[in-house]
This record gives sequence, C-alpha cells and structure tokens, in this order.
Amino acid sequence: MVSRGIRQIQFTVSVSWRRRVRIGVLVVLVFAGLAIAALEKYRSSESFAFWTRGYEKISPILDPVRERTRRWVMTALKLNDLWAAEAEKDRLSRELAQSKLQNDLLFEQLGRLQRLSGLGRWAAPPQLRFVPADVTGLITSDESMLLTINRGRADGIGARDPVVALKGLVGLIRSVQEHTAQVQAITDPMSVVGAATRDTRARGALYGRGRNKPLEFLPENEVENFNVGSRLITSRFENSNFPKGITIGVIEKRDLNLYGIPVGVVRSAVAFDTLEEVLVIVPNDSDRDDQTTASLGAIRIVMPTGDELANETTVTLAGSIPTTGTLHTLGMTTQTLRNMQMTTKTLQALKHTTSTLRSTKPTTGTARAIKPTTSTLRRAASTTSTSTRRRDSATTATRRRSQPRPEATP
Amino acid sequence: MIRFIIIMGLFLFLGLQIEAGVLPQVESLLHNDRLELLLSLRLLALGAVIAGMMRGEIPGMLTGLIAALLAGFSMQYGWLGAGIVSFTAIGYLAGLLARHFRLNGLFFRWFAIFFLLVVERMIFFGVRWFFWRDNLLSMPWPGMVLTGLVGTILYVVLSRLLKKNLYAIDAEA
Repeated sequence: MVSRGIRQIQFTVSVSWRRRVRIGVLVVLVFAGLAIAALEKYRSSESFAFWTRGYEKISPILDPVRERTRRWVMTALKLNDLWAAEAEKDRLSRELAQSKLQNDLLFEQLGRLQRLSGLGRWAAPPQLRFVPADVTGLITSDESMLLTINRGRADGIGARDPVVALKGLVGLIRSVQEHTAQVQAITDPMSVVGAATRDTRARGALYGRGRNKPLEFLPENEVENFNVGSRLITSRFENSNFPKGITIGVIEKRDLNLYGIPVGVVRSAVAFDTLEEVLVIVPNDSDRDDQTTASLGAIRIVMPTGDELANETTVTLAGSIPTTGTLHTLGMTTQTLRNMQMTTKTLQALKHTTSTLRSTKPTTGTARAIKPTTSTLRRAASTTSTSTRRRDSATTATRRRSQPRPEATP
Repeated sequence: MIRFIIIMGLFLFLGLQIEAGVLPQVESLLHNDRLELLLSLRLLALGAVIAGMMRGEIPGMLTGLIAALLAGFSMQYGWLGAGIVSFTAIGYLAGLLARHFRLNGLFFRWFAIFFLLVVERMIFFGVRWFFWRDNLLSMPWPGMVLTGLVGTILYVVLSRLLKKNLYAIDAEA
C-alpha cells in the first residue's frame, strides 16, 4: 500500500517536472528570440556582421540551387515564348485567311466599281437621265434572250426605254414591273435597230439573229458601200427608240442573206453572257409625259471614250474613281467601305469629290450644244401623240424583215 | 528517435532549398502576384509543426529553433529573432495541441497545421512590429493552405513510417 502510494507520487512529480521543462525551454527560447530581435534592432552593426557570417555559411548550399532554378525558369520562359509565338502564328494564319477572303471580296467590289465608274462616264442632256441597274437574270430560249434587271416602274423606267452597257447598246425595255424589268437584247430575232457606220455614214437596219449569233446589218441602199471593220452606231432617226451615237458593234465581214442581198455580219460590242451592270436611259420624271424614248433619236449622248473601254478589265484603285451616284448605286457608304477594312488611302481614292462630279457632268456649253432645238421637241411632242404607231415600230420592223427586200429603214 | 532526427534533418534541408532557394528565384523571374501567393510555402515552419505534433513539445521547439536559424540566416536580416520566437512557439503549440486532441482524420490534421501556420505568422509579425514597427502582416493564404496539405500528407506518411503517433507517447507517459 505504501509502495503503491510512493509510485503514484513519483509519477505525479515526473509529469509535472516534464511539463515544467517544456515550459522552461519555451520561455528560454522565446526570450532568446526576443533578445536576438532586440540586438538586431538596437545593435545592428554587430548583429549584422554576425548575420553575414551565418549567411556566408549557408550561401554555398543555396547558390547552386538558385542558379539552377534561374536557368530552369529562363528555359521555361523561353518555352512559354515559343508557345506564345506558336499561338501568334495560328492567330496570324487565321487573320491572313480572313484577309485573303476579304481581299477577294474587295477585288470583286472593285471590279464592280470599275465597271460602274465606266457607266458613270456616260453623259446625257438634261432631258435624260441614267438609271443604273444590275442584271439579275437571263431568260433564254433557242433564239431569244431577255435580261432581267433589278429596276422597274418605281425607278421611273418605262417600256421601250433604251438600255446600254459600258461598251455599247444592249437593247430595249420590253416589260416593266414595279421593281424589275425585262430587257430585249439586240440579238433577239424580234429586235431591229436603226444603225449607221461611223466612217461612211451608211445607214441601214440591224437585225438580231438569235442568241450567240452575230447581228446582221442590212444597208438602206443595197448598193451602198460599207467597210469591213467599220463601227456601227445608232443612227439619227427622230422616231428612233435610241439616242444617236451609241456604239452597237463592228462589221466583221460581208455576206449575203437568204435573198442574196449583201449584208454585214456584225459582232456586238457588248458581251451579253457576261453582262452584269447596265444603264437604262429614261427621260426625267418631270418630262416623262412629253419626252418619250421614241423621240430620242434627235438626242446625242456621250459614251465613255475608247481608252476607258480599253481599261475596263484592268482593276486598279487608281483607275477607278467612282462617283457618288455610283457608290449609291452600289449601296455603299463611306462607313461600309471602312467596314471592309479599306485603308485610308483607298478610301481617299474612292472618295467622291466635286471635281469628279463636275467632270462627269456635261458642261453648260456641251449641254446647250446637244440640247434639242425647239422644233425638234415640237416634232417629238407630235410623235408622242401618235404613240401607238411608235410603239409598234419594232413589230413593223420585224414584218419588214420577213419581206424579200427591205423597203424602209427603222 | 534517430530515424526521426534524420528524416527531419532531410526535411529541413529540402525545405531550406525550396523555400530559400527555389521559390524566391521563381517569384522574382515570373513577376506574378497570384503565383507569388501560391508559392509562399512555409516549409521550415511546417517542420516545427510536424515535429511538435509527432514527438511532442521539446522536439518541436528544437526543430523550430533549427528552422528559424536556417530561415533567419538565409533570407533577410532582421528575421532571425522573430523567427526563433514564432517557430519555437508553434513547435510547442503543436505538441500541446497533439497532446490534448486526437488528430484523427485528414481534415482535422490539415486544419490544425493551417491554424498553427497562421499563428506562426501572427507571432512573427507581432515580434517584428514590437521591435521594428513595420507593417508587414500579410497572410499568403493560398501558400498556407498548400503548406497545410503538404503537412497533412507528410504527417500521414511519417506516422506510418515511424509507426508512432504522439498520443502513443502520451499513453506511455
């Protein structure tokens, strides 16, 4: 019993003693730390020297690790740069593909601008105006060919208004809807156009012979001379549907028709299969009632020059400065062009200026020179009253074609 | 005991290499604040905590003293005294905590280590403020959470390796 009590007392003392030792060590270490901190603060020179010696002892252990770590990190950073470069390359590749696509679209737009800017160089007297239109469809049969355009009655277009393209005559408006119209091409077998050679002024009728076939020029006088290679233009007939001076085509060779009459085989100046934009020549709205297309034969309009036609297929920024009208025709605004990411230089090249507009408009003198006289207008007014006769002119011409010998010119 | 001393010596050596050699270089070269918080591991302090939790207060305090000497002489002048106070204090607190609580389960072990690391930071900056009046109390929480995870794993591995927990010693006592 006594020995058990002594063991219990020894155990209690032992536990208490260990706890005291732990607390004592803690207190000693804490006070030591505080003392060192105080020395570091208040006896900095001596303690710093002591600390430096300790640092120099540990540095040989740490320096290789630091150096190796630095090298690894630098290698990793280089790899990171490589990955970034790879990502940049992918991004640039995507941008390049996108730019190529945009470039193609832009090139297409520029080609269109080029064509329309050529159309914009057509000039007309104040009685007439040009309505640009896109060819949106083609209705063909074995022989005939009708072009569908995206302008109609809402744009002031009427039946039998002449239609031209950049290089020359296209045909007549055959039927008109509210927003579309059909154009009868001059190659249509139902088409007859009064024409004359530019050089010898030999007049005659130009008949359509069907799609993809050459036109046939039948001189007014069968013994009248015409040269192969002559350029045909619309002739001056007051009751003609077409203003005079529009290029039709070139006589390629002489031939005899079914009745043995000498005719000229004519290649049209317009490529109908690749035609995209046309101009419809319409009287101004205010003069619509008085001025009809049937009286346009007395009016001369100015076509683009040969140089401009020669450069038509060359799509260059410098060569195409479209007018505001052309841009509006395209539905393009400056903001649209900016959206196409065109450069400022390109925008400036395309920007409409007043001088451009003035250069495309006839001067007052020119307008006066080509302005029909009062007598001409009166005659035109008289022909307006007999509209039925005029509107059947094409039918009459067709009937003439079926006769063995032409007796009248269109 | 010999095995434990060798293991803790290795741990402190590696902890010194990582905490004083590798991490400052990485932080200085990458210049990333988030990464700096993530890389603020407290491995030397963790040595004191592990030793205290597995072997009691005295081994914890002695390990903390060695860790404080290593950290104080390798990092920056003025950290030695505060390091000795804070490291030995958490070594003692780790032993005391393990003596009074059976730290079964990973979460409780992680929480205990994390709590002790927070206390160490507070003691350290308290001492620094007391003497130097600097205002550097910053808690690298992500780094301390990661350090807690490392300590938990290390605790599990070492307790299985040494086949002894603190409460076994306590039971002997």
